[in-house]
Amino acid sequence: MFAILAFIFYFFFILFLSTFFTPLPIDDAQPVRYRSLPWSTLVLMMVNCIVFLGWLAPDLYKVEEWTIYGLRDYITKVWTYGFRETVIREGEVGIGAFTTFTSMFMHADLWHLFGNMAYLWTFGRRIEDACGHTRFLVFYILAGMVANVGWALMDPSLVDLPGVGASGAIAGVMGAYLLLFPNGRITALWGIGSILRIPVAAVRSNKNNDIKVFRRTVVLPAWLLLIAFAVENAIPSIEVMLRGSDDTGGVNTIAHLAGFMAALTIFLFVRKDMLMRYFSGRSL
Amino acid sequence: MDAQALFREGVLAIRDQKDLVRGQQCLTQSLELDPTNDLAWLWLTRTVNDPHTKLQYVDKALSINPTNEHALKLKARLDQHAVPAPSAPPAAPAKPVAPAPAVSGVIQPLAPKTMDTPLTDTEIERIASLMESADSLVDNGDIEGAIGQWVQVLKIRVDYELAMRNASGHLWRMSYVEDARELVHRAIEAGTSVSSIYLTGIDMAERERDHDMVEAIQQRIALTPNVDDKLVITIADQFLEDYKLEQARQFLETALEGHPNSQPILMKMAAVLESMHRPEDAQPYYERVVKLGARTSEGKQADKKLLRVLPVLTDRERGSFVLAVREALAFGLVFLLLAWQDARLDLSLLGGMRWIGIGLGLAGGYFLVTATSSPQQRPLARLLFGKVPDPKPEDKNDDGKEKLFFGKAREAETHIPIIPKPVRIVLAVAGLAMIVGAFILVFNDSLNLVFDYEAPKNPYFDEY
Repeated sequence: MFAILAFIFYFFFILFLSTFFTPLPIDDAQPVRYRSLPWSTLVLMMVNCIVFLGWLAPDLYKVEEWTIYGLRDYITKVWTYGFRETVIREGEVGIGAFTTFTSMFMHADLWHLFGNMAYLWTFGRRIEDACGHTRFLVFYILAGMVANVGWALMDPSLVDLPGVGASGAIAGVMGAYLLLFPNGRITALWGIGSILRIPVAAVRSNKNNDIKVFRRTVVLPAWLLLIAFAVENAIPSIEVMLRGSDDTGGVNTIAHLAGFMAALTIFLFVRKDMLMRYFSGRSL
Repeated sequence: MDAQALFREGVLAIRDQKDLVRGQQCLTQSLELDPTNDLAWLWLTRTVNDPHTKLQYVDKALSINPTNEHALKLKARLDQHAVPAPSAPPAAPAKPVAPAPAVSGVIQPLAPKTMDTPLTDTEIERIASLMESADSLVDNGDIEGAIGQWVQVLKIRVDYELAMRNASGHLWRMSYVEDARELVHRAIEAGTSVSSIYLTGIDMAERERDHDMVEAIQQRIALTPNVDDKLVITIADQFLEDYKLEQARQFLETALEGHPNSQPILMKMAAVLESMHRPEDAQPYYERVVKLGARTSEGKQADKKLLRVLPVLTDRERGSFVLAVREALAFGLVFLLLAWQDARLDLSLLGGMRWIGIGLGLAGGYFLVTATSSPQQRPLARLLFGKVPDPKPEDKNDDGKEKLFFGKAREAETHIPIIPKPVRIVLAVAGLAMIVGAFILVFNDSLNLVFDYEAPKNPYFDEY
């Protein structure tokens, strides 16, 4: 019991710390056009959660010793089903190119999963609405594959490391959001942003009592968040590509960047009427 | 009743009551009183079926106002379908046309040359000279002399704005009300596009409490295609200021006949309908505005309004072959990526079978797309025994509101064939089979690895 309470406290404490300076998108503040329920987004979130909580987490969190050998089962799974360039290029062992699918649904730890699912929930619903359920699913898989292939082709490092996580595919969804809905409004957890908001809201509340001065979240323009995400990933990626260094803190920024660029294919997936509206300069 | 009132009654009979006989009677009587009303001649064309008679009425209208857009379009249309003329065509309305009404006092008949008609160099010089002369006369205190000069200008161009303003203003102040009105009305009758002249006419009629005249001028504005959109909006706003929503709607509806492609008027119409709590009627007007151009300020406003309603899927999108191929290309791209990874990220190792797989994936994707999201492609749908579907019954809730279909665009009425369901099922099954086959071809090596599994080396445990 104590362990669970400690874990919950730890979770929220880390959440507070990590979102104090960096905004964490948690919701899309604007409605969807076709009023569709985001089945594909929900299924993807569910599969990601089941794979981690039901398959990886027991090996990761129920270990007797926090050493390489204690984590043997977990590491073996990551090394076998994660996307490894060496395994793909050799093509003689493992499950070959199937890792491009399996790696997309695996996460390294709970925070990795939580962050990715928050982004998928925030940006995925509107893109799914714009594409329809099946086409969105295909786009998601395509973006994930582009992220993996892009990483393998653009990363000059020879270190054999597996890539896991939905972030490449989700980066594709975010890029698509930037293309289709740059003026969208995103609700984010952001400590600094909330503090900066207080004086502005306090002044406004003098005129209108409905305004809440203290709020846990802030609403930010989508383009700001998404361009910041692209820049945040592009700079270390360029550094890795130019200098061959591999010190990106365990974050596969090249895969993120490649996935983000896969967003250009979104025009093959959006609904016909939406595509025509997009190119005639209408809002989506 | 005067000519204008008869004209208005005729138009209302034709347009609102669909009473062509009554409409013809009124217009004919109106033209007996005022044969220079080009719009009356134009409306008269609606009361007859014989194209030759129509053509004669249109010619009459054009001889009075050669720039009348509606008349020009109608004439072009009639000329296209022209057949040899009958031996004795009616040249005019049933009764003989009376001469033009007499003009009062100092004001002589004016030339029907308006702002839309180009002037010769001589006329331009003459106007400049007359205006200069009028200014000198005003400076010398000879207002009547100046009025004479301005009237001379108006003889050259009936709606010369400055001359009109000065002449009618001074005449009004000098209590020559009839003359001032005469000047203004002649410009209006000539089909001027100068907004201020119409507004002056309305102002004069309101001062005289001549409500019939106010309405007649408003009607004239609505029916004259070359008047400025802003003038139409101004008049509509005047109705709205008096809370006359229905009159504003009727006025704009009439104006839209002459200005069918005016975004500001369409927007105003939609706004009026929204004020009347009829948002569902406003929606088609917003859609017309965005169709005319989504990048204009009106287009952007209308586009925003349409954000709250379901998007519409039209025949343009449904029938597009290119849009269907676009979706199939997505399948091709997915299979190319799969094949590339299976070929150890080396395009030169793709080999013939994988390329066949990519092609099969593309074709299977196209079959699937045709069966599901694009079953009305031109000309494929017709070739595959497609027929134009019957219009769907309106799906409405008990409260009369349109039912919402979650996850789908609102489907506009279709006029293109759709592939029959059995054919679509065959296409879908074939498409799925091709996609499965394509996957086996492009992912062959990886499938073999799975069936003959050998764990990859783990650098932490296998090498150290």
